[in-house]
Amino acid sequence: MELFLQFLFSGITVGAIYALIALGFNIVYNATSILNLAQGEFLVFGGLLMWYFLEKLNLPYGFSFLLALGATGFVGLLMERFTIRPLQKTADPLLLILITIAFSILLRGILMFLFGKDPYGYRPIDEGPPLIIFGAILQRQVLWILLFVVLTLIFLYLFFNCTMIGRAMKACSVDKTSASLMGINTSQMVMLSFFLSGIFAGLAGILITPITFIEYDKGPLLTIKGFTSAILGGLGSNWGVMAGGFLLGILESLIAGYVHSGLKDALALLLMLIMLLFRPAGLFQSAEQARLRKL
Amino acid sequence: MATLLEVKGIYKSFGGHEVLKDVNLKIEELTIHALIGPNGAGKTTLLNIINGIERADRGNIYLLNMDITNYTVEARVRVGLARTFQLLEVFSGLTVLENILTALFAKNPWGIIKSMLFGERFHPIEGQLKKRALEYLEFVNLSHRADEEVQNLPAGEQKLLEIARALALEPKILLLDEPAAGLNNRETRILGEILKKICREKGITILLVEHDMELVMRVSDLITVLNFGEVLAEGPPTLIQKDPRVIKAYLGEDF
Amino acid sequence: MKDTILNPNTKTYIYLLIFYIVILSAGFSIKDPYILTIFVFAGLNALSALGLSLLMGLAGQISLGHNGFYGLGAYLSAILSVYYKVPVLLSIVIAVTFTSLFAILLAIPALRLKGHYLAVATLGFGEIIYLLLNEWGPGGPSGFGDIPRLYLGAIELSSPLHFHLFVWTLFAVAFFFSLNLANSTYGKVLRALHASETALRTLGINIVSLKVKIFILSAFLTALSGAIYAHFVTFVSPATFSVFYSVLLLMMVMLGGIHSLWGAPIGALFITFLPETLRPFKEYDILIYGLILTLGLIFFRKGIIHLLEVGAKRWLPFLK
Repeated sequence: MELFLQFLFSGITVGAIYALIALGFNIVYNATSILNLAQGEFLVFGGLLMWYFLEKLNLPYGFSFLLALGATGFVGLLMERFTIRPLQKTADPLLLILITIAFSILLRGILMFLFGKDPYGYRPIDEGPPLIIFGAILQRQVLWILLFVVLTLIFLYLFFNCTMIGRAMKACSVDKTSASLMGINTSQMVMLSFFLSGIFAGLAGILITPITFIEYDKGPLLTIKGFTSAILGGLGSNWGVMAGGFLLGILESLIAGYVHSGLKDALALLLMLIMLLFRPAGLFQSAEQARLRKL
Repeated sequence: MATLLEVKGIYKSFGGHEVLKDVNLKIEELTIHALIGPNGAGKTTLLNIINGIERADRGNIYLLNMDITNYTVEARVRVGLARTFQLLEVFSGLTVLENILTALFAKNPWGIIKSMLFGERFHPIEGQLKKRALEYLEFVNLSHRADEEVQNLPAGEQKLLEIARALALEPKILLLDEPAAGLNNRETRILGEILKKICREKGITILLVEHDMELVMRVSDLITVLNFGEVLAEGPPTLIQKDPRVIKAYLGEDF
Repeated sequence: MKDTILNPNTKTYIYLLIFYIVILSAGFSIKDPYILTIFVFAGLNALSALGLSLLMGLAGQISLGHNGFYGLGAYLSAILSVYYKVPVLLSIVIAVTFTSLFAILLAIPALRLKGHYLAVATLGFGEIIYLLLNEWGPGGPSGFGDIPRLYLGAIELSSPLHFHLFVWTLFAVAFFFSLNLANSTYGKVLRALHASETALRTLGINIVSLKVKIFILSAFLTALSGAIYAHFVTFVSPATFSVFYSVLLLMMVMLGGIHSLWGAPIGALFITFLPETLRPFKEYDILIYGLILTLGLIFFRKGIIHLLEVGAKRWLPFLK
């Protein structure tokens, strides 16, 4: 029981991170039908930048937090303007997928140039002693992570249902042509989607670095995990992909705990392949729903 | 005349919206049968179901009394179904002649290993294939374009190429999805002649989905009107033109 | 000759002959074993990139999992020859055959998936192979050595020059067959797969079989390259076979020029020699690769081969 709880806690922690990456995937996918494979690098960028502001420049925690968040969003925005937009006219999916890979390598290169190959970490938001629940240890940072996930969910709900710009974005994801006929600037929506995906991945990076430490080349695996989560939950739905993130995190942690820790990554990948082959629409939506989303 | 293609009781819905409701259709041999109807009447969906790209929820399709409902797209080609597309589906990057050769490939395969070892050398009917491909181009007056890359052709000629490519399959029935869309008056008239020639000279039955009423009235032997997924009327052009239901549902807007 | 299809243009074959002769004479005239070694790596990469070029350029499918084929080819042949004492040539044959069959596993997702989905699925496949080599490969993450060298009959390929001649000859043969394929109707049908799968199906062509075959061919070439790599370096470790190798192959194909098979050898030579010319910046290779690939994709999509074509037309008018 104690052991199970411990695995569950660590699963929820990683799961929250996967959920935020998957969310970024989904927002960009809804706006552009592109899978942005630089998603994991955004996360690393957020974490390392936070370290720089906090430890190197000694800025206050909250201020560093906001700066790192904004900077990651800005990188997403730059990526869209300078790499996605020039290529979107060609409408060649091969090129669009390659450019996201190219940009992820570039970003990784920049990170290595700036931060070297060492892992980085910094103090958690709350430095109190960890909580003990039925004998299992729960770090306070985990509660903060969950709090931010809940805040993200509230933000998403309000943004997509109560603001004009959010609704416009939703309209774009349903039918781009009609949306642009209605006077919505779809190009701006694409830019905004990259900005938001940068913000969410950055948030994940900032929150997880105090727990796991992070180095420049953590990106690709996180990208794949985020994508697996998105596929589990079913690309298209924000709630679905986030649920997929938690599901994957918990599954992985249980496999690592009870079976073999070296296999958890391989099994996650295998899960992704199986999902892609047999249920590409995800666990929570039917194939018909996915088809209507032009999956 | 015998029935070549029969469509029986086809139902199809997308996400709860019924696109086709109990559609029945009989296409006689050696006729040009037109399928008309307002936008969204379900014409292209019906064509897709006959051709096998989409599956009907219910209903059957017979070719010469043989049930082909469960055949794959490829199998339907083998028993004699060919089609063209509303939005052009030519192979850009290939020349006009090469586009036709891909159609001849299925019946005269030359495997990957042989292709790697010899290219086309030692192909038993190499010269013949090219000659036949050129004949099909000649039939639609495109032989002078044979060596041009297909994306450099105007839309009208690409449409003709698609028809030639479908003819190269030597089908029993040819399904044409709005072949006149994007053509000017002169090109449409030429298309009309070609369609008649296909039917008379090659003995190929045609199912024609088309919006250009003039063309439809001129070439077709029988017209079926589809409205909101149901067959509204059926008859020869002269009768359809006078049918009050059809005029109300459809022709009223155009005439 | 005007017929480009049924009587394939003989010019490309003459270029191949010239290319082969130039590469071989380079091998004989270069005495520095280090540079020759890089030539061998370039040849191996060219062979792998040719596999990817057939898949991506010709048939329009994406793969980010070719590091998996490269790794399987290398590890299987190495394990067979080291631990089961299988003669080297035979071990290569077994390893390559097995890997090619294994490629069907990757072809299955390719049949169902397109574009981005296919890219991520193949990426996952390559990553799985990499993780498994780390976990279960002999020596784990540090790999294993003492892999026997290659014998051709009684001749041991011991010097870089031997390998240079062997690898580039193999490449020339593979390239000759690939040119045959690309110029044949089969090649045109593969190219049509890129343009419209739906239309191909309505011509009665079984696209499942097309895709499976081109995947197997592609994997075959990359696995062959991997197996020879193992017996050239005589040491393998998982790091060589990470997803980064797939990215390198991608760069070779894209920068060389995806619209022509010639992009593969040109890109392979360029990318393999690039780190040597950038030796002072070795620390930042990822940054440089990232920059080149990003800028190349935005501004230079036709590749080096296009520059060569334009240059040849301008300066060597007698060619056309």
